[in-house]
Amino acid sequence: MSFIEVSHSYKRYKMGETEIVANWDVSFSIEKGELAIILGSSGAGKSTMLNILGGMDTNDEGSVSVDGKDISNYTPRQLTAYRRSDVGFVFQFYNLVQNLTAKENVELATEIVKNALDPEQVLIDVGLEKRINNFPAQLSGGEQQRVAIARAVAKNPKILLCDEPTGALDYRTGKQVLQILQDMSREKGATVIIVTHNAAIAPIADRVIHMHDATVKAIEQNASPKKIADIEW
Amino acid sequence: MKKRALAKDICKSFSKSMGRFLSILCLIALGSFALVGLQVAGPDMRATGRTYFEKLNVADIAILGDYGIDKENCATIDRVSGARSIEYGYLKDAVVEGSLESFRIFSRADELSQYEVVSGRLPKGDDEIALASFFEGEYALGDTITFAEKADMSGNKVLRHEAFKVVGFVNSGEIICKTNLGQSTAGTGELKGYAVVTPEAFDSEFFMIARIAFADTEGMDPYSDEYAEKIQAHKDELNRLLVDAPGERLQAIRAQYQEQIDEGQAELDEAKQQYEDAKQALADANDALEAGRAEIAAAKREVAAKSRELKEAEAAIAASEPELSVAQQELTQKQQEYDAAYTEFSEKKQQLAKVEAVVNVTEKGLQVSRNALERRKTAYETEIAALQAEIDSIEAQLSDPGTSLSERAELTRQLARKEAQKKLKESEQQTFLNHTYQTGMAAVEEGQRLLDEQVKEQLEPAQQELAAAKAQLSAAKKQLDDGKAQLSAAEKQLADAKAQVEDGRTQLAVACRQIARAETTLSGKDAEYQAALTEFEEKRPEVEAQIAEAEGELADARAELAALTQPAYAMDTRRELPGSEGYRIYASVAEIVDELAKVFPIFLYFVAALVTLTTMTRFVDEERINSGTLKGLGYENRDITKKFTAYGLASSLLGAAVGVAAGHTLLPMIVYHAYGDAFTLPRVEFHFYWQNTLVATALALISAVLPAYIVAAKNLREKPAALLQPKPPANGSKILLEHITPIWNHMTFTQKVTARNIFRYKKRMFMTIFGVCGSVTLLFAGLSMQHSISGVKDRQFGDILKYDMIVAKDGYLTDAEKEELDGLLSSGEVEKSLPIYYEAVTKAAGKKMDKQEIKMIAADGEEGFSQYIGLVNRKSGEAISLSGDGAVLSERLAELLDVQVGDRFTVMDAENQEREMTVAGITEMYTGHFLFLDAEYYAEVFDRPYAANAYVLTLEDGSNENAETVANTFMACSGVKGIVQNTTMKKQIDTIVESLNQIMDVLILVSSMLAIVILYNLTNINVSERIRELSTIKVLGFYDKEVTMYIYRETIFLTILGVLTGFLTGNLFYRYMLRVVPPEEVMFNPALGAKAFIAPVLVVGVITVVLGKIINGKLKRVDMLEALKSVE
Repeated sequence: MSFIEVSHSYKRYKMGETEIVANWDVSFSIEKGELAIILGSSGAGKSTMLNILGGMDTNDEGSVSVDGKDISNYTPRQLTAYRRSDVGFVFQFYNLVQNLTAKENVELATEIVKNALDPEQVLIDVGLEKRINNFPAQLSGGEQQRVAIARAVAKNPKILLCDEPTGALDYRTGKQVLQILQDMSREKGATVIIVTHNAAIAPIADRVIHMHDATVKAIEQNASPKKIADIEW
Repeated sequence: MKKRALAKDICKSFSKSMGRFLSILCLIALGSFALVGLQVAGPDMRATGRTYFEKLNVADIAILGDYGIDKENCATIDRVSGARSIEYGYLKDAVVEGSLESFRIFSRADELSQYEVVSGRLPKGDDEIALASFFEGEYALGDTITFAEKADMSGNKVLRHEAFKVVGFVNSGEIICKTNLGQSTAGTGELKGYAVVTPEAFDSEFFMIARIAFADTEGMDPYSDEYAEKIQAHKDELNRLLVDAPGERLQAIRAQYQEQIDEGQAELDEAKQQYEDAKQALADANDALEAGRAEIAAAKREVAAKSRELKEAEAAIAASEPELSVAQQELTQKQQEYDAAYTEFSEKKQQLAKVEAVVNVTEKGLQVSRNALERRKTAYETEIAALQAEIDSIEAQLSDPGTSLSERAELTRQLARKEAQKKLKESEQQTFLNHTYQTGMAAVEEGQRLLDEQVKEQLEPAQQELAAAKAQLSAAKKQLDDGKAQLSAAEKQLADAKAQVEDGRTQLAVACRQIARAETTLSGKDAEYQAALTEFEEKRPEVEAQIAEAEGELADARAELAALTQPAYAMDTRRELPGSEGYRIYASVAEIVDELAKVFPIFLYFVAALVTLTTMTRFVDEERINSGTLKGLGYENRDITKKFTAYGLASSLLGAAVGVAAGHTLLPMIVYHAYGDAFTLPRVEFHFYWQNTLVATALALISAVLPAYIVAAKNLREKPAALLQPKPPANGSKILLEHITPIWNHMTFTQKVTARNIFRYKKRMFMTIFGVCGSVTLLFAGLSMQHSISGVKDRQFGDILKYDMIVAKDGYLTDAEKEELDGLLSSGEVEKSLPIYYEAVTKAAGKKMDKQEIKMIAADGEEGFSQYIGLVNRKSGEAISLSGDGAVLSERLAELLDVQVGDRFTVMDAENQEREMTVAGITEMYTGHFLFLDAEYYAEVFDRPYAANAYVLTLEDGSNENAETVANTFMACSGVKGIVQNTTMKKQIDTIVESLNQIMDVLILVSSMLAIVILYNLTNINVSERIRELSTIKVLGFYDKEVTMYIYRETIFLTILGVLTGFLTGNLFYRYMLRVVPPEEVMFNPALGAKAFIAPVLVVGVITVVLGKIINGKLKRVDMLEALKSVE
């Protein structure tokens, strides 16, 4: 059994009278330590899938198993515990707490987990050794995103989920961020899942899950993923 | 152009934010409610009182005389100027028979101080009565109520009847309190009710009360200063008018009293006489009975003797009868003997008679011869004697010298012739004698001798024999006669004896009957006597007791007469009248509300307004994008602003309307509810106060509409594009605390985060602190007030006044009264007692210069005193002991008089004398004014020796009920003048405490609601402003509780800060209220209670926790993804 196993997952939203299907019979699996990319255009249901994987949302049908545990039947509290200990999340818009310094933003995450990494070390790892005590407003977008990644990573999660991590970043900064994520997978053995609409970055992944119209269209495995530096967009 | 869409948007903004709309409404409503309500409650109360007093035409001043008001007094009082009406009436305190309930029975007034009939009617007949309305449950119309009136010192009762028929229930205009009617001279010493009867039901020569209403005060607000001034002027005038009245009245009373005593003495004397008479009559009767009894006994003895005698006589008679027959036989024999002797005698007699006859004849012859001889001899001698006589006569003439010579010669011739004649005769005589006479005589002698011989030989022996026979016969005769006589005597004796026996029998029978009769009579008399004696003996102790009692009473009366003092005339305003405690308490309650209104609601409104302002500002900010859109679409600023002004107007005006309406009605009602139960006044009147309404409305608009308009206008000056961007959150920055490294480094991460956030949102921090602080201030002050007044009772009546009552004794006590009182004092009910001097003195002081009643207690000996009254300096806690240096004052009195230790002050004693003394100490005391002196200092100040006139007591069982029972026992004792119980003061405190408590409850409730609204609002704003941040940490895996705490920690911290500052400001506020709120005779305990600290913490804590739960629930439901989607 794979580390992450999604099988026949459905997710529907009710918007007034109409029902919107976000996920339709989604099934895939990801192995531990893989860097997986869920690729799809806007509205393909990839973010929904990510939210479900991240324990921020629940599916209506089907099973979602992470490290042997089916999180699809989790209570809200179990989900919170799951998010807390097993998941690191990186948002497109960083979502840093403006009133806290970079370090404090990281600490915000490490405070609540047991085997957390040293916040300062993590920040150094993402190249922010000089920005440790700066407030988000004093940081560039990339730096902010790196703080966000550091915050996600510092928790030492089983899976790292990133929603369009480069979406708000320029090309160079985007690459930097991707490098960090890839390193997390390669060097730290973290399972990283990136959601993006940008097909250009797909080659860096071990596994690419193509989503379209709320369901998985194809899953391709990449035996030799490209280096970040080798990709262009 | 109709902007329907805009209108729709505005409407939507209302419905979308119902919570906010309601909270603004609530804030304004609470503020307006407190503001208007507290400000109108006092005026409403006074208006109610004024209407009521005017309706019943309550007198302005009442004059009460200790010994009543007589005609002279009336005439004096009638001279007062400016009186609209003067009316005199009666009153008397009496207890309901068989109970402890003391009533003051008034005579019905026609004009002044009338009664409001609640049910039934006023009394018409002199045996009808109308009771105080609050006795309506206890008695029903038609019931009979019976009073036990205590006679006055001269034994008079002023009520004609004891039983009255209840015909109605009334409210008085003078006594308006149900629970605190003041002191009474009957029962437990505490007045429980009042009643009205007709003036005819009183039997009194003088009035007890004069009521006066003045023209210049008619229709005037009795609570105004102007009224007080006018009344004071009238009072002064009355005082001047009545200055001589006490002395005159005392004289009149004395005279009247003396007359009564004399009458009493006469009655007593008469009674005594009657008693003595009765006693004497009985003694006489007894003597008579004894005599009768003795007589009967004597008679009986006599009868017995007689009876015995009779028997003896009968025996004697029986014995003497045979003797008699023997005597008769003897007598017959003697008769025979006598007859024989008689025969013999008769023979002898005849023999003698024959002899005698012979002798006699012889003798006769002899005698004749002798006689003839003798006659011749005598004739011779006679002739010679005649011749001699003639010779003597002639010789006598011759010897006479006067005889002439011729004559002499003649005479000498005659003489010689005569002498010759004589010589012849003498010779013839001689011849006769010698012859004839001698022979005749010898023959006679011979015959005589022969006869004598014959007699001797014959007659004499016969005579002797006869004499012997005669003697014999007479002896026999005598014997016979003797025998006869003896016999007849014996017979007679016997007959007599028999007759006597007969008589004796008859007499005996009569005597027996008489005795029987006498005995019957005697036993009748005896029974009568016994009955009379029994009756007498039965009545005797009673009569003797009555007499002794009467004597005692008279002695007492005399002593009392001697002890009578000048009566005082009390001039009492409506606030000072006995039983007017209610009037003052009512005014106090109104004033308390007024004083509260000066600070409480203003503070409250300020807090509410600030929170409203913040809320409205946030509302404008939230609508920023919406506004931008509208502006972008080309709406004018005016249109956009309309939303906010409409929102503000609607919420604030609605809130103000609710608040003003509730303030005008609910708060006066609550205040009324607080005091209403204790008063007979009608339900509080609602008046509309447009000034207050206007102020409340204006304030509402200022706090809700104006800020919204200003903020909106400011926002709208920005470009629509800028407006479409959400307002950038404030950037993080280092806070001051960070620079204080030692502290900052020691803080945990969460603490740091909280600290950062707190300083990041300074405005909200301030608002939270301020809001909580405001609520806590009000809560703290309110609770402290409650604590302060609640503790007062325990402190004063537990620690300071340890005694249960003061028993005042009469000025003069008889031995019996003394004994009775001592008996009561040493009874099991009384734990201990101490003699003291007690007097109620007065002093005009305070804002209205009211007559403050001061209880003055002087005692001898400090050690004992402190067991009854623990004088103590409140601040230092040091005990104060009485000394000769001066008097110890109660704290509130010292405050009113504005005196410190060492200062001098004066009071007016019971006889209206000013007495000056020095303050030696100021003691803790909360209700009532007190003045304590030691005996020495008393003597010095009052210039008279110290003499105890009362006792302070502690009871074994000090409960109110038992104290009442004991008080009644004491009141029943004739030597007791009155009882001063603490229950009255306790009740007064209770009324004020109760009223204040309820008002405080309302304010505490309002404050709590304010705290809720404020915290809810601020927390809501906080959440909505920071929803993204919250979503982020939620995503990070913070548990719901942690998420809530992430934001709520700040609230808690700020709340704690708010609570702490609230304690400070609350204490200040409390100090202010302590100064202005308490009535003049009451001091509140300034000490702080734990409750004032704990309760606000609990209230705010509970609100915080509950709000936390609500927020927690809300945050649980927050869609974290939604918030995170948008751009920053």
